[in-house]
Order: sequence, then C-alpha cells, then structure tokens
Amino acid sequence: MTVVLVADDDADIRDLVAFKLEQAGFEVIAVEDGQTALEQARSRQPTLAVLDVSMPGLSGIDVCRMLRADPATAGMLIIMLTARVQEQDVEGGFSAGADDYVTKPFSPRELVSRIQSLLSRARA
Amino acid sequence: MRGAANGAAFLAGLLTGGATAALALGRETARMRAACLATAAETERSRRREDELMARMRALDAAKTDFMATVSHELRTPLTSISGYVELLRDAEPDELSDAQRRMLEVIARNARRLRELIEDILTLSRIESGGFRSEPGEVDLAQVVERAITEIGPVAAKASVGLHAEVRGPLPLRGDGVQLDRVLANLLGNAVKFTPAAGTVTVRAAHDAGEAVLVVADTGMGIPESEQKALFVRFFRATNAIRRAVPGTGLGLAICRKIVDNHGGTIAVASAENMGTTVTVRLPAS
Ligand SMILES: Nc1ncnc2c1ncn2[C@@H]1O[C@H](COP(=O)(O)OP(=O)(O)OP(=O)(O)O)[C@@H](O)[C@H]1O
Ligand SMILES: [Mg+2]
Repeated sequence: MTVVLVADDDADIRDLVAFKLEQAGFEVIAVEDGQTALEQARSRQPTLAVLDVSMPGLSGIDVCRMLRADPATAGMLIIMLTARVQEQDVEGGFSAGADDYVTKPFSPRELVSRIQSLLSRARA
Repeated sequence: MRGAANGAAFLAGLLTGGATAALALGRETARMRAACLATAAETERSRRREDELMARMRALDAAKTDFMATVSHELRTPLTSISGYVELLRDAEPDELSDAQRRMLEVIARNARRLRELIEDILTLSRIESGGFRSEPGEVDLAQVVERAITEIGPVAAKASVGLHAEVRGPLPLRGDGVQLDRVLANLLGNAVKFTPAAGTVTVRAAHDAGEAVLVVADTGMGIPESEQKALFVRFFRATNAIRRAVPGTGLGLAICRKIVDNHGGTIAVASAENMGTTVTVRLPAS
C-alpha cells in the first residue's frame, strides 16, 4: 500500500484529508506539526507528503527544503497546501522543491486526483 | 441582511479605500498649503511634511495589504473544512441520504462557494487598489481573452436559455495583465447572462478602433433603473430590481472591473434602460 504523510496543524483538515486518502486506498500517517512531519518522513519513508505551508515551528516550506536536502528523502513526492494565493507563497513552495501545490479551500476529490497523477508520473 | 451588507461595505471601504483616499487628501492639502505660503522656507517645510505624510500612508497601505492577506488566510482555513466535509457527505452512497438532506447539502455547498468568491473578491480589490498589477504587465491579446471568457460562459448561458453571440475581430494586442483582464470579462459576461431572463440574448463584440481595443457586452435583460446607474461602480452596490428579483451577487464585480480598467489606462461605461437591456463598453489603449 502506498504510504502518504499528511501534515497540517488544523485537526479538522488533517482528518478530512486522512479520511479521503484512506478511502482512496492509501495508508496515511497524519501529524500536526513540521518537526513531527520531518521525523516521520525520515523514519517511515512515505512515497508522498502533503504539507501545509503555515504550521507553527517548522513550516511546510522548511520541511520541504530539509527533505530535499537529505539524500535519504530527497526523492519524496511533495504537495504543499496553502491558504494564501500570493505569488510569493507559491513560488516559495516551488523553490523549496515541491512537486505541486493546492490552495485552500480545496476539494478533497481534487487533492486525491492530483496525488494520483503525481504518483503515475513518478512511476512512468 | 441589508445591515450586514452595509457593515461589510463599511469594513471593506475602510480596508480597501481608507488609505488610498487619505493619501489623495493628504497630497491635496499639502499642495494647497504650498501654494498659499510665500517664502521658500515655508515651501520647503511643507514639502517635508508632505513627504512624511506620503511615507506614513504608504506604510499604512502596506499594513493593509498584509492585514488582508492574513484575514483571507484565516477565513480560508475554516472554509476548507466546511466545503471539504460537505463534499464527503455529498459523495456518500445514494441510499445513505434522503433527497431533502441532499438538497440541504447543496445549499451549504453553494453558500460556501459564495463565501469563497467573496473572500477572493475582497482580496483582489485590496490588492489591485494598493499595488496595481498582480503580475508584470505583458503583451496580451484581448481577442483571446474574450474568446476564453465566451467559452467559459457558454454552458451557463445555455442552461439559462440565453442566446450568446460573439463577434471578435482580433488580434487585439495591448499591454496588460491577462489574469486581471480575464476577471473583467468573466464579470461582464457573468452579469449580462445572469441579469437576462430566458429567451434573451447577450452579444459580445471586440474590435480595434482608433488606437484602442474596444469591447462591447450588450444584453436584452432587466436593465438598471436610471436613477441608480451612477452608483454602479460603488463597492457592494446592487440595483433595486436585481435585489427584488433575488439575482445572486455581492456588488463587487463592477468595482473590480473599474479598478482593473483604470490600471490599464482605459475607460468603462454603462448604458442601460430598465426592462430593455444593458450595454457595457470598455476601451483599452492598444499597443
Ligand atoms: N448587465 C446588467 N444588467 C442589469 N443590471 C446589471 C448588469 N450589470 C450590473 N448590473 C447591476 O449592477 C450591480 C452591480 O454589478 P456587479 O457586477 O458589481 O455586482 P453583482 O453582479 O451583483 O455581484 P458580483 O459581481 O460581486 O458577484 C448588479 O447587482 C446589478 O444590479
Ligand atoms: Mg457581477
């Protein structure tokens, strides 16, 4: 089963994403902050990580950059969730090495299809 | 309902207009003062005061944009949960929900969408008022912008049984911001379709004329009462006939259009007769 890491400090959104992803057949690791996301990414090696940009402590962008910098996790697929549509946030996400970004409010269905297309692109 | 709208209008006015208006006012008083005072020293002092005022207003403008970004972030997060969980419920198995429950969920979804659009609009307005362009202006073909918007609105017009005619003579090159011009077209075509009852028509024309790209959106809809026409570009303004017939909307679309057209050095004008129809004409300098 494909393992997906979900990091968001908002519990409702975390549960929403986790529920939808489990329904779609993924194994989900859900965490509530950047530090835990980093630890879980390193120890459990998920195929893909969904990271909220604004989390207290380490932000999603920080986590993304650190994952990319570490050879053990550099190849992980990363989708950023952002509640800002300002260009610098999106650019920040991409320059930190994210593969895709989704803006809040997003449709859970849409998120799953973005994840699936990233996975199939990575497999090809 | 009206009270809430007025409150919202006041708030948004404060947020989006306050600093800009104060800036203009400050500039004006400083200029007048400078004209009255005779000595060079006085002029110098008042110029310094003007500079200080300008700097303070700019700082206020930046703080306002920052504030708006934060507010929109704070609103988007709960909205994500509302619309996300509604989607999960609506995706439930057919026998898990009654028809009445499905209708209720549809109402929640529709209103969540409205709220999202409202947040986007307020943010857009705040951003274009304080900063001009969203991206760097580049070469845009207005003809393509129009074609795109017509493709988008097509299904909506068909569903409302409103005839849609287009006459686009491109290319219509100009310097501008494609994303913002998309926004103008979407709102003008959206208005024309939603304020036109079934069996009416909407006609879109775009062509070059005397160094300008001219866009005309004409409909045979409900029109706007004459006495209300001068208020059309005021934020949150909605005509009484639109409110009476409960046509959905917030009254931000035309205010946004006006700002964007202004930013492009163009003009926007509305001609309308109640129960006859409305024609909106946009003229933008061609490149
Ligand atoms: N084509 C039209 N026909 C009749 N009335 C119009 C037309 N376009 C605009 N109006 C009137 O002008 C008002 C303001 O238009 P505007 O586009 O700013 O707001 P809206 O469409 O009500 O809401 P929004 O665009 O924010 O969703 C409308 O509410 C309506 O009363
Ligand atoms: Mg409108």
